[in-house]
Amino acid sequence: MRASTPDPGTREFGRYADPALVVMTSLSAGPRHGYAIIQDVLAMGGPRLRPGTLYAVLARLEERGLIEALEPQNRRRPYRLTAAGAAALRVQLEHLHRVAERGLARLQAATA
Amino acid sequence: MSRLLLRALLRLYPPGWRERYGEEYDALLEEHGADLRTLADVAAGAVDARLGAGRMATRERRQRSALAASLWAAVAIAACVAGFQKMVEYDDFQSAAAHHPPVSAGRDLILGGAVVVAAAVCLAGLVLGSALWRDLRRRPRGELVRPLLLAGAAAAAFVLGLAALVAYAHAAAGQPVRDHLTIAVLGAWFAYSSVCVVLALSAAGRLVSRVSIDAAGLRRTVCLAWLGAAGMALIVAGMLVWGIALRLESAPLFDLRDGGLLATPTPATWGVELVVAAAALALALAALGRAVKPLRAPTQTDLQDRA
Repeated sequence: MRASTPDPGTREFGRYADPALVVMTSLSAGPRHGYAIIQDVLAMGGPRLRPGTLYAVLARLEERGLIEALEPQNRRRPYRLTAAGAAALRVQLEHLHRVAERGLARLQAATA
Repeated sequence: MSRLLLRALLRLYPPGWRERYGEEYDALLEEHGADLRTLADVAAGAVDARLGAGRMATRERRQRSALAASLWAAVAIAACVAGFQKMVEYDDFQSAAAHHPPVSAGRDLILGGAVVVAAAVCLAGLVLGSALWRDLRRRPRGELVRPLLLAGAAAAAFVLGLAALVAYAHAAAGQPVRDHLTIAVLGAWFAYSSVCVVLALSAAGRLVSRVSIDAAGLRRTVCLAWLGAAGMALIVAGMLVWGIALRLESAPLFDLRDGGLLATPTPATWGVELVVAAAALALALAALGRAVKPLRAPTQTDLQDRA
């Protein structure tokens, strides 16, 4: 699944590719700091991200210019999606959407 | 207890990473539960940050890493040039250079390159040193003072060791080079000096990574590092030309079995110096190349191509 997914900007993330997708999805709603991202991903039905994984992902996304850090508020630093990050996320989500649609259609055809 | 362990694990992250993310990460750890899986995850994150410290670097961190790597390369090159000068200080090598222009050209290239490297290191040192001075006057921080003291102490220890070696050389003048005592003294001096140099360079690298310097100052220093790399290229080219020219023009001298350092064969000493110098140049070029390489963010064309 991961190998066939078009993965602009997160191609080299390895085991952090899937957490990166949910983090970017969380940030697509607006800037959030680390703990808020973890809570939001859980609320979306995503995996439970832990601090080590979250910051490995944030550092990679920031280095690729897909997210950017904002001014810290009470030691918590919010991050937001950049324009490049939004475009990359759109490409990945559209691809996943197509895969999901095809999969569901095939399941429906098989059970019909 | 778990919180204390989490704090301890935070110390496992590389200093540059802690400087950038440490405070917000600490705030997150305070909010987050500290179960066993979290402890394991934070430990894995520290390993990942250590392994990927360079890969995840921002442009500024890459530039600072390149400066530190260039400093290591400059010291390795300096050792090679010093070894070369020691090897060719004898009359037969001086005479070969005087009578064979290609040999002389190789030696001049090496000396010219050494001057360029020394100038680049001094100028870069001035830029970084003045930034460090400003930084220390504004707010003396332990993270700057400690490596500064360590670098100074290691450099002083190196100079003392060198002085002791020179004193021994004077006292032992006339004794055969392969005397057991001389070999033992030189071996001990080499080990002692290596430790001093590694400590001094590691401390200097920490200073380079932590000193507050604006983007323009950092760019200027990286340009000087490129100048230093050009000097290193001259040295490598000079060593190559010198060795080949000496082999062609004066084969018996090149093939001397005891013409190298510590009465080793000349080709062996020359070969080791050339390989170390080339490796130092490669290190500097690789680090500086990374510093100017654009950070990877997908372009619109990338996105269209991959869609």
